[in-house]
Amino acid sequence: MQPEEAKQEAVAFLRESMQHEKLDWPAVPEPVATECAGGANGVRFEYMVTVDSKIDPERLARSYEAFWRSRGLNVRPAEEDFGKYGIVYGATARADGKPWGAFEFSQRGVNLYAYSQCVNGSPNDYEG
Amino acid sequence: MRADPLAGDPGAVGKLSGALADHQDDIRRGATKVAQAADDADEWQGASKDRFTATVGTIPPAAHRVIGRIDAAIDVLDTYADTVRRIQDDAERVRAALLTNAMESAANTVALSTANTVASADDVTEAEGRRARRLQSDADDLAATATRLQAEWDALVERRAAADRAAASGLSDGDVLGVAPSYTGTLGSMSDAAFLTAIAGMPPEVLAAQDESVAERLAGMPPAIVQAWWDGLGGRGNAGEHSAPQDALITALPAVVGNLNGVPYWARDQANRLHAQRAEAAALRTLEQARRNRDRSLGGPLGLQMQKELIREQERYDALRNFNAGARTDLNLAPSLPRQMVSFHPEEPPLGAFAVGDLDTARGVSYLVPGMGSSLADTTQYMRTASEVQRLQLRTSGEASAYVTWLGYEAPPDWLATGDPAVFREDAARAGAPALAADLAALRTTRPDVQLDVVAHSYGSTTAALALASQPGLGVHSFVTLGSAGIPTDVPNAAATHAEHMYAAQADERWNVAEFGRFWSRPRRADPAAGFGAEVLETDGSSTVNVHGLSADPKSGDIGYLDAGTKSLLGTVKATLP
Repeated sequence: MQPEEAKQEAVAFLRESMQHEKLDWPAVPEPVATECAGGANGVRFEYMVTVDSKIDPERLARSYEAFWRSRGLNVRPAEEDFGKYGIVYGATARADGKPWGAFEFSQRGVNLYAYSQCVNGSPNDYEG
Repeated sequence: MRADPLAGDPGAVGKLSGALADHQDDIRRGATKVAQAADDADEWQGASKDRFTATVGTIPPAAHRVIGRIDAAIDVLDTYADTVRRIQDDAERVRAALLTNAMESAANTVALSTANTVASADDVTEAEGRRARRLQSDADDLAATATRLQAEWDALVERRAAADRAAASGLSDGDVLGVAPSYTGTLGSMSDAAFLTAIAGMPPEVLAAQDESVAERLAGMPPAIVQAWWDGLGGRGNAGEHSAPQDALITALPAVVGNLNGVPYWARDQANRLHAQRAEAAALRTLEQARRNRDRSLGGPLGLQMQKELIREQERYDALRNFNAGARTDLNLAPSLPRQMVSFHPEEPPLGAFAVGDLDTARGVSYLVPGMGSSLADTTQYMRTASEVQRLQLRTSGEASAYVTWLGYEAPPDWLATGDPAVFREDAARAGAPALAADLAALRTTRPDVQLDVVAHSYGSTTAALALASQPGLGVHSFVTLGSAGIPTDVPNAAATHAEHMYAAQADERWNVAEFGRFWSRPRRADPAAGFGAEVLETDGSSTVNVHGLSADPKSGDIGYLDAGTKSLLGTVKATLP
């Protein structure tokens, strides 16, 4: 897979995920290039969108867990009680041969991630 | 020794003066270009512009001071050349007159002797008597002339000696050298306070010309003394508002100021960026030379050696390039946070630390200490990993810690990739722990109220545990270990780290990498997540984090300790939230 294909696939996954919930989503940003860890020689592209507004993090977490599972991803949820900041919900969503997702929801808003598949190259190729 | 009025070549002195004038023109052109670069930055905004402008602003004044000193040297040399030329002209004339006088005296002596013999005869004529008297009178005149000419020669010898002394004195004057020549010698005998005052008063080009002992003494000062001194140079200041002596020190001694514990981090950042960029440029030149050497080699043992050198130089260049890239690499942080190059050591291997966040102002500062296989070549990758924590902190409370990616020790190689067993020993941790402890102590000195946390992965936790145990006064709030390679036996429990809280995460890693490292370690190291007194950070068994890395390979479906959305990331964020 070429880098541009991997990016397009990840962007499509991100757009689909954003459309799943009606929030005040920003435009799709430029990705950050990061290495394929674990000794693999390659690069992946990380897209992150944020929404800063009061939300119900638990409802949103359950909604995305179900949505990504319905798309064939293996969803692993997590949560942590931050006391006065409330409970923060996170999850990773993985599947072989597909872009990945992750989220972090708090009462302050949303971090939503999409990761491309790993392609040949190095993050150094994308450093300015 | 008597000076020779005819010695030397005034033309050569004039040429030297002309070469200095050419050099002066080069400096003038350079200063003009730098000033133009400062004008070009007018459209920039923010801290980067302030830093650039401040640094660039020190260069034209320094250049003009150097030009002034060269002017003074040119004046001295031109005056000397003119004086010597005049002395040589006069000396030629006197020497020719002395020669003529000597020849005439010799001829006169012979003639006078003959005339006197004739004049002493009984039958001497009147004419012969007159001739003898005239020749005697000529002899007296010639002797008087010789005496006068010798006096003139002696005066020329004195004039030349005076000219030589004036030139030597002029060239060693403060106007030329910018500092009294004996000054460097006196620095060594000064008290710390007088030494610091003296160097703070030096312009950058004079500071830069000081020998290594000045840098070494400065580097050896306790952080509290350094901090008080720096504050006295015009307030702690910031990147856009600080004093000329502070600028001079940053510009002239970047290798010292950049790592000088006690100096505020904005100044260290400026100094280290200068130093690291120069190191990268030098590494590139060395790499290109190594490539040419390899291409010219004809194979065989020498060719193999050239190839090895090329690989080594490529690795060094890659490490320095990635470290410098930390200043600009994308991190997906909203809002974006300032970055500071906290330390830089260009030796082999190069070491350093890069912060995301402002260490001079952040309420919380966390040091991320990576484990086996880490090096400056991984700077941006670890900064991205640290930014995972910061993003979630921002999402949770609206405030992020400053995160320092600390690559300040020579980590053992990744034994999975190389087979090198160094990770099972403690040598690398014991060598690196004092540097980490010193850096943490320096932060504590400059920021007494900051919340200081340490997040250590793999063998980094071995190093960090030793560092924390060695200094009870660091005031570490949370010490978090992720997939620890084990804690040495001389740190027997969590309390021995002196951290207010200690947390340990240990996932069910594929191939049990951390457990394997602990099991085969010699001496045997302890698992901080089992009966050590640390609070266990949940990883949900193998259902979430399932590999040893902080982030996982997307091909594999694996999850690393600090991947977004994981339980261990949430726990790390909670432990280090300011």
